[in-house]
Amino acid sequence: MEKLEVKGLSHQFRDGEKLRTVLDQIDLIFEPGKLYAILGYSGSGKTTLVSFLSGLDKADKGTIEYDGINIETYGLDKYRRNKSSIVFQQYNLIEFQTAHQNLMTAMGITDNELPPNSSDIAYNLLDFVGIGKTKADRKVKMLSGGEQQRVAIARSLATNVDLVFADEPTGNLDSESEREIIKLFKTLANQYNKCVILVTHSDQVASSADKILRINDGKINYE
Amino acid sequence: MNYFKRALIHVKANLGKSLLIFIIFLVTMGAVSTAFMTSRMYNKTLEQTFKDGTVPVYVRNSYPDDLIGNITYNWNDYQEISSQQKFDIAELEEVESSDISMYSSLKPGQLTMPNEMLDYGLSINYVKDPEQSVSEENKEAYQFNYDKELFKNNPQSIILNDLILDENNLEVGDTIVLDINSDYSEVESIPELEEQEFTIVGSYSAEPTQAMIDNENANAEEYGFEPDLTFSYLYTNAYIPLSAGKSYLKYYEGVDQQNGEAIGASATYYLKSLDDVSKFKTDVEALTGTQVEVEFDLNSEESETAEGLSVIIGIQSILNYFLLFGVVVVIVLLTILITLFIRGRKKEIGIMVALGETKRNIYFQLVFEQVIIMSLATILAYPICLVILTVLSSKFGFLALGLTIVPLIQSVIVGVIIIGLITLIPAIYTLRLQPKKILL
Repeated sequence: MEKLEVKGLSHQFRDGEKLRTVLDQIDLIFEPGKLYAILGYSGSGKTTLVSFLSGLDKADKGTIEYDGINIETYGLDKYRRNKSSIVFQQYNLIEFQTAHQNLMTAMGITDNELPPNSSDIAYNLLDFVGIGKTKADRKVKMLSGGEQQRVAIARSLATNVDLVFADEPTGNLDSESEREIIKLFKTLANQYNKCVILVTHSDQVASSADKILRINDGKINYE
Repeated sequence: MNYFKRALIHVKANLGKSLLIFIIFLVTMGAVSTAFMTSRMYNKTLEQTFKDGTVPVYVRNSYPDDLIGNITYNWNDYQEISSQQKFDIAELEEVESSDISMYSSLKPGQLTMPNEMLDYGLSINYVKDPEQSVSEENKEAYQFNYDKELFKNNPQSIILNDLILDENNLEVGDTIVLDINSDYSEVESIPELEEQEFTIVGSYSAEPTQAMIDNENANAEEYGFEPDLTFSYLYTNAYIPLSAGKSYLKYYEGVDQQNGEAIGASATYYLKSLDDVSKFKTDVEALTGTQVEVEFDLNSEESETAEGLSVIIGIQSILNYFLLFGVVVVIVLLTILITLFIRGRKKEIGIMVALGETKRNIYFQLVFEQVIIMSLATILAYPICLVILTVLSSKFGFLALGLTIVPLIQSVIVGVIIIGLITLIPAIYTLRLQPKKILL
């Protein structure tokens, strides 16, 4: 299975007059079938790191390789379309669409080969994350926060990618929803062989992960 | 789900905004459609005027006594003539009115012919008093008048002035040998001469009728020139009586204001009696190979059609003045509106970028949204405008257009151009969006 490999990743941003280093020569390897948690305090650079890993942004220095290919060389748009997906703290679903339409939109964008009955697949995925047919046909703004996050997770699976990133996925959820969402991520990693990387500031959420990486002063340490 | 489906969902899900853009498009496409429809109506009405309208029969007192007037039927159905390819276009001459008849001179007693002789027929005019003629060429003496159309079926025929016959001891039925070019050629060219034999098929009197003299004097007084009877009455005297009772066609090709490059035809008939009108119709049908769907009206005036056309021209003028201004305003207005709407869709666009959608497809979605709205607006606007114009047409007497595809296609093309322009700025805005800043 393909590995995600980070080599010498460094990034700075301007903080007033000063340049602040958020990532400093980071080397990491992420393997499929595992749930990773990147833990750190607010402003430690964990969201910045996930934005690089998911292909939403480019770092100042270093490379990220997936399956031995530099993702920038591969094309960040293409990488996001075919290799990775991201679940956001704010869910970031298209609000005027139904849950099912959100999944169909993502399935229409990817170049990955999908089964011909993609509409049924979308309903099945929603069912898998706990969204029944009735709710699947509702506009997402009519769903609760926990339900919306489930839809977002289902969307991340709909494109049949191997890398799933999540940025504070339980940040807006109650503790019960949090437990269920983390359970879902763990299932994805351990049963469906996805490489799931989630960013959190919560030790409790991180404790469910197979591997915990703590980010501090631009450096990352395994726990 | 491709960008077209996404566009459809967006239009349906955002009915308020879509409705606002729809109303603007409805008004715009209505105006654009009306402009194209009236333009087409104008052309069609003009065409129909010649094709189906009444054809006036002119009664002229200046004609010789045995003629009552003439009909000229302009057959200007350019597309039909072109599509039939009935006539060999290579044979058609580019004419201006002055080319139809050409003149050359020779001195008394010299029966030579001008180089530019037509191969179909000719006549020779005799200038009775060359010294008094206001025309420089007439001062030379005899004058030849030849005309291509007059004897199309009898190219070796000639009509002579009786004074020429007298001076040369000739009479009708005699043959004469003239030095001319056997092929008709351009007036300015210098063709080689050859001898050709012509039969004198007729003669005409050099004396004008009193009606001709009166007409010439009246014209001279009205337009302020000296009366010149040395040529005009001779021409009229010879040409018209011999062509009376026979239709002849004149073909031409050239550039027409309404129809662009085209060919046309006209038939003229000089009437000996009113019964000749029906004969003219039969002749024209035989010559053109088409049905002449016209009413001949001795008392008709062309004012009725002119009134109808003036209404169309009025509508066109208003539209021409305001349409361009209106379209520019609409483009600016829609650009602002759609840009504002796009700013409210940052999150949606950011999500699609995060999912890996190309900016090209996002732009296409944006365009398709406008195409859907514009199409719906056009579907509604077009028949409304058609009904309004049909009502106006019945009121003012111009031609009802009927449902036709051409103005619709023209309107849709303008609509697509508008969409292209109004989505440019939103597209640039979209291209600059950074999903990380919007979503994380």
